[in-house]
Amino acid sequence: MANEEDQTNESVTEWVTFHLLDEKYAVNVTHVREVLKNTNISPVPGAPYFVLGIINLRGNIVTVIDTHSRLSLAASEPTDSTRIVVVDMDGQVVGMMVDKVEEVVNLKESEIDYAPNVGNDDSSNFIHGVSQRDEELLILVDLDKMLDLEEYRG
Amino acid sequence: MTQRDKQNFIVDEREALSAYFNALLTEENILVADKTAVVTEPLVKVVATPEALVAPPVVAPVVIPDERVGEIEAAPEAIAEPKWKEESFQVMLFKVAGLSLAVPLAELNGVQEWDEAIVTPMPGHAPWYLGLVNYRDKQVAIIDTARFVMPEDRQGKLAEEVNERLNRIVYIGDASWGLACDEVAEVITISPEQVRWRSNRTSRRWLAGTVLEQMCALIDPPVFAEMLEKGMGLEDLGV
Repeated sequence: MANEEDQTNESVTEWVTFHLLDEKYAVNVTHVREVLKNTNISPVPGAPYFVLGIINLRGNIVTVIDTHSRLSLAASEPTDSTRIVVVDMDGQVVGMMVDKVEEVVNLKESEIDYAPNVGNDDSSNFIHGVSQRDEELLILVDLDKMLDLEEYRG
Repeated sequence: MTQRDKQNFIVDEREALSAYFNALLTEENILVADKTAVVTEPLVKVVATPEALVAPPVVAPVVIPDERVGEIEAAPEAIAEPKWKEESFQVMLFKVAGLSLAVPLAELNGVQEWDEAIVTPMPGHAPWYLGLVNYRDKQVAIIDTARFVMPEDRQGKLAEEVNERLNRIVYIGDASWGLACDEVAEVITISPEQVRWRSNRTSRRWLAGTVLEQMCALIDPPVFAEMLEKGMGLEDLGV
């Protein structure tokens, strides 16, 4: 019994899936703190182009980024399903505005495809890999790179 | 337009095709730069050699096209000789933005109908990168071939709406790349003599040579794939 378990004991990671335009993306669940409904965001003058502003989350100030522009995607109008995914990267708490949050999926290591990376464009580095789920392709985002702190300061 | 006309005059039949592709695939400003470079060369020679002073100035315009052709002309030896090059081989012809391209069957993996629904766009990539397609259980990167091979100043005429333009995807090599194209034409058998091979591949390294009879550009798929991996597009043209 134990042996059988070992054989199938391929490392499994959990991913929170969300929508941006027509595509489905995912971030590793270990970084996700909570998911909020869209609230009032106070703009920050002089912030990088992809920073929408800040929100007050139970007394803590959290920066909210526009995930669309961070990934060089076309903008989309906020709707009822717009959510802010609050992620924690080594103590840095950031909110990511997404079109819709869907579910948490388990992915085996073998299900993750490290697709060919084309060129050396900056934003293509944000992609950790892809995973085919039924008819859909899930794009796994590398949060470390997407929320590169150096770039925030720059 | 006029620059190309000027460039193509007094070019013999075999060289005319190379000149045509050169003109088609080169940015206008490069052509201008090349032309001035060519023009200055004979002038320098005239000053350097005393006997050239005797030569009538009429000679100079005649020399210009010759020099130009010499530049385009490729010596028959290539960098890396692909196997399929040795004897008669089959190529499949396909078209992108009016340009005929040929891919050796030996390097062809498959052809699939274009359908935007099967392509998952990947964020933040170059405009010529259309996205991923699940082809035979493998994620394959799809390239807008016209946007990759045509210089920027000739891309203006390309329809923005990819669905109006693209009809087929041609998979090359071990199917790690799919080239989206306008249409797929026939398969023909050609012998190496029918090809004007390029050797000096400093620019447009993906272009193995030109097939004279069909007036098409022969792709070197491994080199093409390598360029795609490095994200080399226009910068490889020396822009």
